[in-house]
Amino acid sequence: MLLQHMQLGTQTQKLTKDTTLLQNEKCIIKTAAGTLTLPILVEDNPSGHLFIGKGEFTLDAIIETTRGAIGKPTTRDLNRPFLMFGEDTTLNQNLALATTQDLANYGYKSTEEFLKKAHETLDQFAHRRHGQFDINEDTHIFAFATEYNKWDILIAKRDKMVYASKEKVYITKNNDHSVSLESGSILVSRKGKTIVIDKGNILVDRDAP
Amino acid sequence: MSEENNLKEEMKRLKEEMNALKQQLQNMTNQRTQKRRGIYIDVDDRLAGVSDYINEVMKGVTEGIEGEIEKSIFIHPHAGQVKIIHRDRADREPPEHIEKPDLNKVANIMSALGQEHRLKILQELMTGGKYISDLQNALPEITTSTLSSHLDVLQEAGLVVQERVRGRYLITIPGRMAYKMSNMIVKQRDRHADTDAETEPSQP
Repeated sequence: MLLQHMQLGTQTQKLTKDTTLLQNEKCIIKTAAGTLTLPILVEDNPSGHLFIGKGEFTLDAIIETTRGAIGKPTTRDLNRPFLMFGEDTTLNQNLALATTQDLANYGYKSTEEFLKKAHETLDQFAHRRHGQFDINEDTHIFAFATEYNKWDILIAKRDKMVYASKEKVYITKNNDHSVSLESGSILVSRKGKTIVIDKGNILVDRDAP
Repeated sequence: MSEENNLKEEMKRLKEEMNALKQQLQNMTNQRTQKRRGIYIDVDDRLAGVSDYINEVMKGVTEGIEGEIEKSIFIHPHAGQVKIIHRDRADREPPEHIEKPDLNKVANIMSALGQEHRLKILQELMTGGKYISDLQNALPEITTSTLSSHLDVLQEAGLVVQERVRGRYLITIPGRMAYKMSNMIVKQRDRHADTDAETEPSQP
């Protein structure tokens, strides 16, 4: 999927019920009923959705080591636009055409006004981003707009996950392999063996549980 | 003539005494040198030769020990015995230079630890992450609402963290340290209490 080839569909839809877009052992992304959405198309093929509405993103960026747990959960309200690449059958079942009232619930007086905001959002994401990514059935990529005009990115593929934000980078695979970078500290954990580099201190823990 | 002979005899005797004193002084100097190395072997003058030999051997042994453990310990210059002091302890900063902790934070952690049920919760979590149902089963004497309240206190103190997705409770690194430390304090105190009881004179 080439980022430059992305475009938005024209049919504004809404979620008819609260929907879980992603859930695994470490992460859950939920959107609230009434959230507005547009399909993202690549060469006319549906490849994802743009959402504007309400939701919640939770990531347990916690790494378990033999010396105890490190890290804490990250939770944020999804009250800014966000994108999801990758298809979801549950989502498609919970979609219906949005009415003028649905748009008004989020402050849009017309479909045009909403489409303008949606296009601005996609352009902002694609701006200066060149490249491509392949998405298969198991992979989902989320991009969350932040107050810093930056995007936090989450890539999830089965038990593998990468999250990158201004404050934190968190990578995990099957709970056995994890990497966390946060405010001056780096933690690498592999099958219970851990290396922590924190403010000039280095802790190496070789004891597997 | 006899007076001259007497004088000569006297001079000879004084010379011998002086030599004896010199020898004694030399021995004392040798002894002081050995004292500085932490080894002092007091022997009769008649065994001076043996003493020198033993001191030489001991000097070699001491140097050997020093060579083996050169960086970790040193021989303390204490008269009469070899005293081994750990270098890291000797190099430690004096107490007045130790960074003072934020006592408010310390008090908060101690307050979180200062409840038997909360210590039992930490004890359960030492074996791995637990759901609240696991904790309820393991600690039936604590009601559900009290258990939740204790977990809140432990989370507030940073001793426990809860996964938001799965809901498991995990003990943190500070939590594990605090639990172990509290156990160590109790063990140490009990050990001292036992020792005091043993040394206390029995009442008539």
